[in-house]
Amino acid sequence: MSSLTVFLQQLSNGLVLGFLYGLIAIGLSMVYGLLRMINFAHGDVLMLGVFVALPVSWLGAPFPIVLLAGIAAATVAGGIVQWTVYQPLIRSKDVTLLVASLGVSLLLQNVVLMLTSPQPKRPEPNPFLDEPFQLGGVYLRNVDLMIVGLAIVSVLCVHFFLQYTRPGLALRALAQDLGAARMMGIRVPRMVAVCFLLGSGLAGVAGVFIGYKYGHLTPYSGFLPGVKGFVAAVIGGIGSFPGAVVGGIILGLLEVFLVGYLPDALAQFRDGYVFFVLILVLLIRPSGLFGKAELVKA
Amino acid sequence: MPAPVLELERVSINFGGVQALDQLSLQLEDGEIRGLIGPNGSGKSTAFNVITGLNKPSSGEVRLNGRSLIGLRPDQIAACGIGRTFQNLRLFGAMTVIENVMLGTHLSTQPTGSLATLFSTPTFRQHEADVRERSLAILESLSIADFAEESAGNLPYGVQKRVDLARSIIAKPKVLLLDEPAAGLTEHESRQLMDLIRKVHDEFRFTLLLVEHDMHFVSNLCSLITAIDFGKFLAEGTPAQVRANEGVITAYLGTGRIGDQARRVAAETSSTLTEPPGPVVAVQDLEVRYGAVPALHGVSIEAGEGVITAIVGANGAGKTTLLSAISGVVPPHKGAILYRGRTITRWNCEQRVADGIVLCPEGRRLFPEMTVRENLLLGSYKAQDRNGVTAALERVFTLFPRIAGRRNQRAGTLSGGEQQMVAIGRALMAQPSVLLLDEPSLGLAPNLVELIFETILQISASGTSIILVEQNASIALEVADHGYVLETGKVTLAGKAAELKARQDFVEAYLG
Repeated sequence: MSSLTVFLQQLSNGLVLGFLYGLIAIGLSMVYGLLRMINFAHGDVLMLGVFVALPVSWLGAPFPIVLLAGIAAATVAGGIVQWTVYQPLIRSKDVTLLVASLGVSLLLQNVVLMLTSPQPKRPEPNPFLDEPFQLGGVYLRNVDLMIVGLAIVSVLCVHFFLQYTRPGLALRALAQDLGAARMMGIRVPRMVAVCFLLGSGLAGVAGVFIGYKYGHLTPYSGFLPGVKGFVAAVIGGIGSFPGAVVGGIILGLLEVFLVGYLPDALAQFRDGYVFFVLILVLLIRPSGLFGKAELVKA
Repeated sequence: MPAPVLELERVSINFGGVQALDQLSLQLEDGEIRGLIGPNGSGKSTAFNVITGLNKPSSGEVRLNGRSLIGLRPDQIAACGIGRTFQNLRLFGAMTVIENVMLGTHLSTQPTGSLATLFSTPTFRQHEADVRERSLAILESLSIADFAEESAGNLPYGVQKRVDLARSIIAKPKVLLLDEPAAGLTEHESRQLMDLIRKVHDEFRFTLLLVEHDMHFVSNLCSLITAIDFGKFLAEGTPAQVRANEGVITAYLGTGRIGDQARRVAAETSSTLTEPPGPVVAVQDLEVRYGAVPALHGVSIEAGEGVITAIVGANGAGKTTLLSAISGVVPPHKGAILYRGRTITRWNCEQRVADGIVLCPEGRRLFPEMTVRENLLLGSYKAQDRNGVTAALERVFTLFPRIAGRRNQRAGTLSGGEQQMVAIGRALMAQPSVLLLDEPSLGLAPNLVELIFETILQISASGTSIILVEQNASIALEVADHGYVLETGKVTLAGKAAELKARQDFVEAYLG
């Protein structure tokens, strides 16, 4: 393979991974924009979505049904967590919500562990998704194409929702000034719920695709994607919707290129580099690419 | 004339296009107590920040005993002998009162090295004991020695204010700056504080510069008062001179010039009302607290149908709290709010907006990242009739032609006056039957204030009931039908606006 082909291959892999991170980052970023809260349980909601989608795929359901099952499960899980845990705590300090989300994360992991087993699982192989194809020397599978396509569609849908619908307008207003939004008569708890449902649904999309692309799912599979989604959100500027998508893509590309071009002995620390990038961003430009510098009053 | 201790010479500072201080000069003599007054946003706190080095002036000089302070860091300036208290208390709540006070010495006296501190050598312990003794003495002077070992966070607000004062005095400042020391205090507490400030001033002989909205407080304490407005020098003199000064009365009480046409429109509407209108909103015995700080105690007001009701009073009197309670932003502790005879005390904000009680909040609270149009649309968020929204949008643009051409501009980039128009327009988009206006003239140039008030009269003439909160009492009472004067959370005067305005004792009660 020529070095150009290698480069293009890495680029494609990075983009695919980046879109997955972007899908996860959107929910995290939007929730942060509204509540100034880092939702550690986001990745575990994703995991829960996949674990409901798994048996559906084993029953032989076609891919769209499996995907819908995953989205539905993640959305419902996200909604329940928001309604039962975060909503009652909404007036408490930011750190309370953060710790609560850590608790929810561990709870979800252990509940799924209790109900299933620590054995890695994978969805029923789907011949269509696994089918490879070649494009100018770059090898990809249909699942990769599907990821990019559906991610772009999802992002566009969310964009139109935020930009041109009444609830979208309300959500954006809420993110800018929660108090003033209340004065407009916006029902804040309901809009926060909408935000959680939306973000969880997107995480569900990412989760099902992670299942098909990588297999090997355990109750802990959601944690790392969740944290990486957070890193992506920070790179893009946490709270910013376009920032989450762009941050995801940047992170995916960085990760793939670092692993691809570093010597093997160093390449195995791929997760380490991600957090190194996080620290660099926080040191150099803490507000991220699209974020605004924010003065936190003591 | 003796050389001034602290001198500001033609200090100017600019924040993103806003001239916060404009060639401001100020001279303080050794040992004097000077008051600094001016409307909100006139640059008083900015002046403090320039003196203490938090803001760097774009031009001008600040001198302490003839030595320039420009370019020094805030800690260096503090070490030179300038102490300050803050508008909102910044005590360490988990530490005891005496520890808080002892911290105040951190800058001025550090005779022992850090190693001595680390190993707690006899010298260090001796020093520590001295500081503790001095702190206790100051707490004694401020009559709060009894609280020395209690944690500061649990104490009543009035005591916390004194701890803050003690902490700034222990560093033995040459000049002490007090930022609204009486804000949030009851009348009784502020009288006590006045005596205490006088007492410690006699004892420690520092020069005192005092920002305060409570004119009574300032007049009693200060020998000289300097008034500023829009960052500029306005007047200086004895309290009596300043209170009689035309410019100061204008800045605080307004010019009272409202367009004749608008007034005629208002007069016509009120004459068409045959019988005296019943109250559309009635507040009964309302009590609101922020934590331990009581903001309103037992306030009762009535707002008539289709007319303007003005609520005036000094800063911190509870005007904004009252409006917030009526709009449902702040929950009351006691009392009731009635809307067209129905009790709505427990309704939340959204329900009240849907029912026609709409707040145009203090400081505008626009969504800066959104366009003017989007801001206005958010105002009509609750409206069911979508065609009505388009019509309402057109109405707002007719009312404020200035913002019509800027409908796709981001709200954050508008000037203050235009932002105020968007804020009022946004409230109107909800097609309110009761419009709550909180300080619509705040931070606006006089000509814009006039324009805004003319519009308020127009809005009222179209049948909307308005409850208007204003610091600019004169202009508010000019447009209003009824007026209430709030003082430290209580209604002290009420009546026909014209009568209130005519009564000289009202001006006295208000200006102190």
